[in-house]
Amino acid sequence: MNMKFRKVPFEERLHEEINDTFRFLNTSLDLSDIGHIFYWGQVYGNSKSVGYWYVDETTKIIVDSVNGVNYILFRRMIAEVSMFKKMFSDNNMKPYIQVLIDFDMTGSQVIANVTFDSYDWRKLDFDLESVWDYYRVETVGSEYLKNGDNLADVNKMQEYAAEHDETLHYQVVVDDFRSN
Amino acid sequence: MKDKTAKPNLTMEYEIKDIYKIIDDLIDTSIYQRIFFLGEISGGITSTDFWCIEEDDKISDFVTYEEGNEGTDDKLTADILEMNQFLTQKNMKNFNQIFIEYTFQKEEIVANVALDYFDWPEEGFAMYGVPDYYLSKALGEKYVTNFGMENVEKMTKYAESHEAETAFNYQFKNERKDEYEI
Repeated sequence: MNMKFRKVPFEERLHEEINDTFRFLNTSLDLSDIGHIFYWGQVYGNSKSVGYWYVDETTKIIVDSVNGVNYILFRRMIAEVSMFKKMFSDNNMKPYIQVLIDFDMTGSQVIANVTFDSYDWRKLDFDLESVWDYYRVETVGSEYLKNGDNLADVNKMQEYAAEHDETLHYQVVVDDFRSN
Repeated sequence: MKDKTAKPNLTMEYEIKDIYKIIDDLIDTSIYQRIFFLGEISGGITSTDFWCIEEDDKISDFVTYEEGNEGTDDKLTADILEMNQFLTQKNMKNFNQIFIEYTFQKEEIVANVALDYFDWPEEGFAMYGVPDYYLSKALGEKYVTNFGMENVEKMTKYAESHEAETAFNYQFKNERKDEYEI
């Protein structure tokens, strides 16, 4: 017996998922002194990867999810790449591969700058570590690069991206939150 | 100015409402009479399931592994784990199963919630037969499909001689979405 699945317009669903993403990041992490928090996800068929990072303004170090996150936060982060995947297919859009959300908390409201891209970095022979570094450099610059060896790869990826625009950009204003 | 990073107040009621919202995001719940949700945290495995009952008693089952449904399963799983985390913080016992029946009034949604503490796999019952037990309790024999009534009867006997469930009701405003057209 089939359920009556909703097909929600892209912008509507995007708004909901962006809000959900900020809500759970904000619940799990202390974002009170941070300018930007970045959520990143990748989906290749059934293989999903997710992560977050931000720069601690006082210590000037990057805090990220590389060494693991609590399981509940992990499930919520993983949920989003699947929700976005469904959002694309429900709206008959070509699938994305990477999603990067920049939650900008520097103003009076939280603004999410969302980029979906379909760069097939695997096919282009870049490993996950380089991919991870590429998105980090794109957002916070190369001074936070953990492994300097990846910089050559990152530069190649930047060149490729400059020559092939395979991105979609959206901006979503995140709803204000109040304790309930 | 509102605090941008003010955190929402997480409570059991918040999660129960959120579980409904997750289901309502995926399917149009307005055509159903009742919706049942089962969350299992037993034998180290989590599992989520829900069923929708139409007026003529037709039942639809949520298939976790189907394309497009994984995100919903992940969100539901996170919610039930978070509920137990909340209970731990309050020095209250964690549940193994949560079974919620949502019914729809005009303005309100009523959630009847039952928490139990049976680790079915640990007690030798097959995971595959677990949903049957909860569905037959709620709806009767005709919805038992997997292991049959014999297994349900064994589980019922076990439940009767062990720790009672915790049950409560929660009511919240019906903020159903309008159906969208793409």
